[in-house]
Amino acid sequence: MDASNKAPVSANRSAWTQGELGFLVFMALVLGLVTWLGVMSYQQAMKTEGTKRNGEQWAAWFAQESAKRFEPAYPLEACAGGFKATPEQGTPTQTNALAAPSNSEAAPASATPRTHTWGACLSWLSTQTEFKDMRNPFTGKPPRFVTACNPSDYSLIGSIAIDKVKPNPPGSAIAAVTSPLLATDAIGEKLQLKITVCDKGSYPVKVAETEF
Amino acid sequence: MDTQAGPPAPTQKTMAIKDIDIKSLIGQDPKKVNISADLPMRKWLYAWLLDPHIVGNHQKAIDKWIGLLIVANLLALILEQVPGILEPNARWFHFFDLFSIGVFTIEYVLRLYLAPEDEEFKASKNARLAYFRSPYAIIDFLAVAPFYLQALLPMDLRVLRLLRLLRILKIFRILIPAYRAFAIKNEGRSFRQKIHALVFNSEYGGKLRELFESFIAIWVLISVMAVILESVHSISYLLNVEFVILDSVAVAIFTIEYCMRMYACVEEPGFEGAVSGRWKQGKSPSTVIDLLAILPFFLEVLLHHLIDLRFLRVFRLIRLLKLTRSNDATATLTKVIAREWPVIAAAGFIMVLLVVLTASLGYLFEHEVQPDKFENIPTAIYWAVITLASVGYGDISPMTSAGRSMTVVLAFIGIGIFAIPAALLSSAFSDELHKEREELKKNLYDILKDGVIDPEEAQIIRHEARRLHLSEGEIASLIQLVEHDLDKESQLKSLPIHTIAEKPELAVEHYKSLLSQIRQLAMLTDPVAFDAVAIGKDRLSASEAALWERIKA
Repeated sequence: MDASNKAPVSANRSAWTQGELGFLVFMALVLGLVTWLGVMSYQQAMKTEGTKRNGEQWAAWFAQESAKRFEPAYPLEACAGGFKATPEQGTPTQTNALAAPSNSEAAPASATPRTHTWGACLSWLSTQTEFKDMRNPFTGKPPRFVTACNPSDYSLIGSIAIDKVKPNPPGSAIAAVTSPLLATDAIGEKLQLKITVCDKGSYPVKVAETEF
Repeated sequence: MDTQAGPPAPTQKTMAIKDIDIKSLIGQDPKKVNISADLPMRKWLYAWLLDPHIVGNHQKAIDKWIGLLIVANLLALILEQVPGILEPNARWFHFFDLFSIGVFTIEYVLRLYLAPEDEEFKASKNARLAYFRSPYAIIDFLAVAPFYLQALLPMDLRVLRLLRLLRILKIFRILIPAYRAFAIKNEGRSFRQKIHALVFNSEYGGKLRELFESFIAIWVLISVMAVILESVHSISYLLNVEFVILDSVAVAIFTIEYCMRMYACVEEPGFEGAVSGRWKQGKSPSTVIDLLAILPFFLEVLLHHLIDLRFLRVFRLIRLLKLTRSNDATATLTKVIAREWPVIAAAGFIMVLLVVLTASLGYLFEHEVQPDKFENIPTAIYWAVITLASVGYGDISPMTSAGRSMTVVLAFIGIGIFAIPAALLSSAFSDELHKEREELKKNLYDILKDGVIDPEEAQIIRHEARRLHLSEGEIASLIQLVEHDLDKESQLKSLPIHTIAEKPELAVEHYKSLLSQIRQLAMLTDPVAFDAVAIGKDRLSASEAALWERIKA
């Protein structure tokens, strides 16, 4: 038999018992806790959205400038294209690739910008264009450019990673090879770029693939 | 009931076996509704479309479809807030809006027109005005008015969207009657008993409990769907924030449900006791599932700074198991596994034995030839399982003659060994179903014994038929069988014993009937009192007592 059937039933129940009030207070507290956690979760998600917007802004700029920068009178000289890479400033050598700082920074602020390299272009953009006001929503500081997001390194949260995508010849097992765009990389030729941002857990979120 | 609309359908009253309409009995297709075609148009329309007292008319179906449309409108209103969904599908949303407004307007006009036939309003001087001023009509009006208002007045799109949220109010058309019925059923009961009636199966739950169950089930499906869609980059990129909000709301709902269950479980039989009852409830598989459904959210939000708990997200799919609570098939599966557990465990043991033995032999034969593939026994175990299960990925395969010969034997044995648990479960399922049908037959026998079916008995048959997925034909043959048995029994009763004894067929039937009567007697009588009289007062001989014990068993 249902235990509830056996419970005493009073015809005019109006007062709340202590147990019932206790349960209601507990429920209110639980609801408050879930709401608070939900709001925290939402705020974190909004920061990730902000990071994605940063990445999208970069992707849009790359796409917009990809054709213009090969024109003769391109105003942003550091980012201009149409130059052949020279050995000392060109295609990243093994030394260049290893020269990236240990904390995965791709373009340290102290690095001396060399013309027609990504480092020079980034340095120019970060100081002279609207990108100088860009902020990492998680830290409030300008976003860092890193070689890759790493879930075990929370200092990378909100950072941006840009990779070069080099298509392999047709018929290859792997369609394209991806490698980080380093400060020393030449940008004289047309590049295929993949923009990724690091979310609240420092996991990579692919934003876009674009030409530059 | 509207007296002019004719008598209620047969399932509403007691009926003789000979008159049973199976479709009507199991609620598939009620017998022809007796609504006179000679009724005035308004009365006729009301009887067919809105009268809740006539079984078999379209009122229930209309209510159901309007309810579904309300839920679909709520979903559409939520989805429209997401630009990523609204923009590419704006046209479809618009068509759906037009369709909904059309249906809701027809419903409103119909109810207004038919108000003079409605028992609630027909007593008023002006029935339509009384309907127009009723809370339900105001809700219905508010649901459609903004659409027509925008056609007459230039209106900001945001204001229009806000006004369209009023459509949510239509949900009260479903909730209020259910709540009223719940309040009546639970009048004078404590708050905890009411919570119990809402979250646990009981006679006090009614329609409100059904709605609560459906609400939880809908949220389970929505949240599981969200988890699946989150894994699609293109979708999660667009709807990341929406997924976070959805998950938070789902967790809030499931947490409240969990707390309600833990609070009210002490009203369940066997769970009495503030601490022990709740501890027992907390340990039950269904409550553990409830806890696992919400735990990943709390752990991830609270501890994400310390450890990477993103892998826990996949455990949100456990929420799907919440649906098993209201699923009879899962209960049958659990029962079958529990019953067949020793045999399944034995089959599992043989499998493990075979896997370890063959893996060891595989390692022995192949290690020297392929040290990279048969590197150790654990790797060989992987190969043995893949081969025994007839999966055969082919990434590890034997090269020596001995290894290959063993693989041939292994593959043959594998087919049999892996089929054993499947066959066991299948046969146990079939047995269980057979048992349940036999039980239903026994119940039917008891129900039909008196030659009539009352509404309560009809309800039992309908419920059992739905639970056991019995078709109309199966119910008919069961009834026929019972009828046949009843006929035989009545024939036997009318015959003298020597006539029965002359015909072996009748004798066997008579014997079965007597046995059945003794068994019924054993079930109904108090065994202690029976023994006290039978043995204590020497009313039965030793052989008679032994026979009684055997028949009882």
